Amino acid sequence: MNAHIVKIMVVDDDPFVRELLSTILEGSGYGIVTAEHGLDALEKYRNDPTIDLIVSDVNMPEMDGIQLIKTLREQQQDVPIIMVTSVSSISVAVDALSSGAIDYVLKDEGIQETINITVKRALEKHQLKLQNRQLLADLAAKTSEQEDTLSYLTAIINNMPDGLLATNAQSRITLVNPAIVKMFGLPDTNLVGRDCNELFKDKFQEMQQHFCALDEAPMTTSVELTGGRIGSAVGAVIRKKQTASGKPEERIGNLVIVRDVTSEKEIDRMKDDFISTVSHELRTPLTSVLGFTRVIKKKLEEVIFPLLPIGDPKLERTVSQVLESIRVIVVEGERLTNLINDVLDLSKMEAGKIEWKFEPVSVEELLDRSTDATAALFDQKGVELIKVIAEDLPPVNCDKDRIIQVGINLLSNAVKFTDKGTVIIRAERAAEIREAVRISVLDTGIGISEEDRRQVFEKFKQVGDTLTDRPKGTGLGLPICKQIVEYHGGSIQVDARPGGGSVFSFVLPCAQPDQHVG
Amino acid sequence: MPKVLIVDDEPHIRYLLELTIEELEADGVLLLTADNGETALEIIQAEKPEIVFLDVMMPKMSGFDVCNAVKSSPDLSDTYIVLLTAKGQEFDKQKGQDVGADIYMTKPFNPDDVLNKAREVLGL
Ligand SMILES: Nc1ncnc2c1ncn2[C@@H]1O[C@H](COP(=O)(O)OP(=O)(O)OP(=O)(O)O)[C@@H](O)[C@H]1O
Ligand SMILES: [Mg+2]
Repeated sequence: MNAHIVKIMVVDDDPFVRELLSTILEGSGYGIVTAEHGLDALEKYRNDPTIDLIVSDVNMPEMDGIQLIKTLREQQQDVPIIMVTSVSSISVAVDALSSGAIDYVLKDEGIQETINITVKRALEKHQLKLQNRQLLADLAAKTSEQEDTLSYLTAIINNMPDGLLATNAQSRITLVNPAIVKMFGLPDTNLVGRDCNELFKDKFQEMQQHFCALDEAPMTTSVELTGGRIGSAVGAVIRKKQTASGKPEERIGNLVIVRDVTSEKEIDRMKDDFISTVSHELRTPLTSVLGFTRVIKKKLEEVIFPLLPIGDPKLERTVSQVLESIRVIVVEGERLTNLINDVLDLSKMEAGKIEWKFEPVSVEELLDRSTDATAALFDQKGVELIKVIAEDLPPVNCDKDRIIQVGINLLSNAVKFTDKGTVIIRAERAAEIREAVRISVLDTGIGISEEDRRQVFEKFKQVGDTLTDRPKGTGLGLPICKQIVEYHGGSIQVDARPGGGSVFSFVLPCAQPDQHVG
Repeated sequence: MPKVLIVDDEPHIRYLLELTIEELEADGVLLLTADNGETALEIIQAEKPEIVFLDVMMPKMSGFDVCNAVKSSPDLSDTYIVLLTAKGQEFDKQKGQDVGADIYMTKPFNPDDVLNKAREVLGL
C-alpha cells in the first residue's frame, strides 16, 4: 500500500474551502487534484481515472455536486464521492447519499477532523465493496465454468450409446441417462431417488453386494436387456475427493455402465456357425472322395484283379499304376482331412471354444499311448524309438487326449525329420520347477538352425528349404502343441541336440496330492 | 433277419454306406435306407433294425432328434445308433451323448470302421 499514494480530487467553487480541504488532506498524505465545479471535475476525472476519491461541494455553478454524482454513476464510474454540505442543507446530504455518494461531511469548524475520518472510512468501505464485487465476479466465473463443464458432461451422458446409472450408498438412483432407460425399457419419468434394485428388478443386486462388501475392484457382469438383447455391465465405486475440506475420501455411491453387446455375441455365434458350416461343407465331399476310393480299391482287389490273366507284364504294370494312383488319392485326402482338423482345432483353441477335461493322469499312460499311435511310422522308416520314464513320477493334471496329441505331434515330427538313428522320448521331474514333469523328444535327424528354432511354433511355419525338400504337413502341428501346453500352465521349447538332431520338450504341472489318478 | 438302416440326406454318402456294408447281405442282413429323419423314424418303428447309421445334419428332423425319439421310446431304445457327423465340434459329441447315441463317427469315416461296427453289433 505504501507505494501507492491515494489520489483525491477536491471539487469546490470556493477557492478558500478548496484550499482548506486540499491542505488538510495533503497533510494526511493524500495526493490532491482540484476542480472548480462539476463539469470541471468530470473533465478531470475523465483525463485521470486513477483518482481514488472525490470530495465535492454541493452548490456549484455549471454543474452541482448532485449532478456530478448522477453523471458519473450514469457513466458507470463508481469512484467513491464524499459530499461536503453546509449545516443548513442536511436534506441535500440525504439526496446525495441516495444518488450514490458514499458519505458526507458537514462544512463546520470540525471539518478538519471529520474530513480525515470520513475519507479514511470511505476508502475502506469502497475497498470492501470492490473486494466483495471481485468475489462475486470470481464466483460467477467459477459457476459459469462449472455450468460449462456440466453442460459438456450432460451432453456426453445424454448422447453416449452406453447406458449409465449412478446410485448413492443407499442404492437410490442419482443419475440415469436416456440410453439406459431405453436398454431396460424403463418408464419415461424422473427416476432419480428411486430404489435401484426395485427399478432394475435386482439385476444389479449382485454388484451392489459386491461393493457393499467393500471390494472396490471394478466388476463386470452380463445382464439381460429388453427385447432379448444382451448387455455387459461394468460397475465401479464413486469416491469423492474432499480436497476443499481436507476430509478423507468418501465413498458416495456406485456407477454402472452398460454396453449392448448383442451384435458382438451375434458375430461370435456367426463365426462358430461359419466354422462348423465350412467344416461340414468340406468334410462331406471328402467323405465321398476318400470313401469311394477305398471302395474302388477293395472291389478291384477282391473282385476285378483276381479275374485278370497272370503273366502279362503290360497288364501288371497297369494294375500297379492304378493301385499307386489310388494310394495317392487316399494319402492326399487324409492330408486334407488333417488340415481341416488342425485348422478347426487351432481356431477353436484360440477362441477358447475347446472344452478341457482335466484329470490326474499317469505319465506312463501318456507316453504309451503316444508311442503306440506312432509306432507304425517308426517301423516304416526303420528308426528306433526308445522310451525312458524316471521312477516315481507323480501323475500330471491334464487333458489326456490333448497331451497325447502333443506327444504324437512331437514324435511324428521327430520321425519325419530323422532318416537314421534313434528317437528318445523321456519323462522326468522338471529340475527347475518343483511339482512339474518334463517330457522330451530327442531325435538324431536334420536338426533346426538357431534362427529357425524361434519360428517353428508359428502357424504354417515350415523351416529349412521348403522349395527343395518340402516336408509333408502344413506347419500347424507345433502351434497346436504350444496352445495345448500353455493352456495347461506349462511351456514348450526346442533346442539343438548336441551331436545333431533336435530336442523338443515341454513341462506339465503335477496333479495336487489329493487328486487321484482316474 | 438282422436289419441295418442307413440315414443320410446326401445320396453319395448314402450310396457309399450301402456299398460299404453291402457284403453283409451275404450273411442275410437286410439293408434299409432313408433320406430324411422322418422316414428314418417310421422305418425304425416298423422294421426295428438292430443298428442305424444316422447322419446328424439333415433338414427338418436332425439326427439328434431322431436319436432322441428312438432312445426315449421303450420298445426302440435297444436300437444301436451310430451318429455320423461332419461338424466335429466339441458340443456335437456332448449333444450326441445327451440324446443317447451309442457311438459317434466323424466324417470322413473309414468305411472299414463302419463295416466292422455293423459286424460287431450284429454279432457276425
Ligand atoms: N524334430 C524336428 N526336426 C527338424 N525339424 C523339425 C522338427 N520338428 C519340427 N521341425 C520343423 O518345424 C516345422 C513345423 O513343424 P510342425 O509340426 O508345426 O509342422 P509340420 O510337421 O510341417 O506339419 P503338421 O504337423 O501340421 O503336419 C516343420 O515343418 C519342420 O521344418
Ligand atoms: Mg508336425
